[in-house]
Amino acid sequence: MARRASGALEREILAVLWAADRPLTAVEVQAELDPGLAYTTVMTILTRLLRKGVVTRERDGRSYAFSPLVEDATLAATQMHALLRARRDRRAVLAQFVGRLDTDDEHLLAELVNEAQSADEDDR
Amino acid sequence: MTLLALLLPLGLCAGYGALGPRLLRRGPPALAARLLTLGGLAAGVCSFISLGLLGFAFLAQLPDIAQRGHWSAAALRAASPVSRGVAFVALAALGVVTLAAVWVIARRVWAVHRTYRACRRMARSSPTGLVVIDDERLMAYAVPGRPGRIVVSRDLLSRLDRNERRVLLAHEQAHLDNNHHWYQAGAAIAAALNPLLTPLVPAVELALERWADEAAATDIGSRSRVASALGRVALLRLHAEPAIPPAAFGVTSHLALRMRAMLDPPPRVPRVVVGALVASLVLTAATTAGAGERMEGMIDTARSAVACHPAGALSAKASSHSGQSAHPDPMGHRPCRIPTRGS
Repeated sequence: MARRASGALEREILAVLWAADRPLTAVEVQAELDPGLAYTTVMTILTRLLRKGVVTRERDGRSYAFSPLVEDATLAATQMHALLRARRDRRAVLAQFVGRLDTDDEHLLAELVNEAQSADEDDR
Repeated sequence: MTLLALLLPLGLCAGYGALGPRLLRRGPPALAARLLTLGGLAAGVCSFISLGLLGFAFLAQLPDIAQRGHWSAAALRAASPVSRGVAFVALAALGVVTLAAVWVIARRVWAVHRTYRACRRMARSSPTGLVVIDDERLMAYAVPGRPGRIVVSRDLLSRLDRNERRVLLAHEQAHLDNNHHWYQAGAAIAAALNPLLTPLVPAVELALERWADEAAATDIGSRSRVASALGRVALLRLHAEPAIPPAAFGVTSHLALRMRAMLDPPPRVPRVVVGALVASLVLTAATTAGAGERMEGMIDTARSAVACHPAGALSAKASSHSGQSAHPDPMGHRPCRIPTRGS
């Protein structure tokens, strides 16, 4: 579990930084993660991401605000685009999370979302 | 009997393709994906061997080949469970199936090779394994590699809350950790070996998505949160431009179905179904092996027919033999028995 957490947490924190439209402080990042996560853990991962050169930081009052480093990411994205443009059979090896939907499903989906939310509240 | 042995694998392929996905739909998806892929491949290989045996039955009756192999073409024809026409059709089918399978395997290997290479090139530019694309389409992909990459569009990330983001990443990571691309390839190869197994392709695809959903639920510790994340993505998706054309084979991701499954209690192993599917596969393999042995026996018989009629065995006259015929044995060979059709 702990081993998984390290890599997965890096990606999760990076995703948080990308999702935000401005640089985030470590406290703000922490608020976007699993509530059980310690501040020091978040700080450790942010430092690691900084060392790996995927995020950058700037002074924000007394602390640092972090944002994703766009240059390298753009390079990776360009490399990825070549794959995504590829023909059907090449794309077939890529697993998609976002599938296709028919509009008929909308009603059913709305119901299921309600059910999921109430089930989630029961869990807590 | 031999004919049955040759046709049983084909019949079981049809049954496996049609019933397998239905029977395993409610079971644990990891089990379903494994059983459908490996079982499909086994069934495909068995039916391929059956076609090969039938095709060989045709080739072995050609005079040139019979002469080289020192067996009697006529005796073989008499013993063959199928007519030459049927055997010829099988031979033609064998050729088509071989080409199709080689083509599918080559394309898959090439496609995976490309994604592996792309991932290697990104070793420096994306050391975390997450690639974010500045794209307003809602996209999330798992790109196989060593290690693989998760590709997400920035737009999708910014519209998800923290729970949904975690589900998305855990889902894609599960695809990569469990080498799901090889299961997809296995199903495609099975379908190429026998078109009757084609229904396995979308079934395996759905099982892999469900597998990743279940893995994400284990990771996060809540099935209902996975369900609500799927629902959110589905609704986002409905109100967005179509992002990427539906995946190959027109398969949908069945988001509503996947949500339903995550809201239901965790799936249990359907022992009876698993037992029946495994038993049917063992039966298929055994019959195929039996058919191979019979073919060997037929060749042996046809060889001894040549030994009895060194000159005349290759001529069509030999086919007029019926029942058992024993001949004096001038050359000291054992008496010949030429079984005919129906024996």
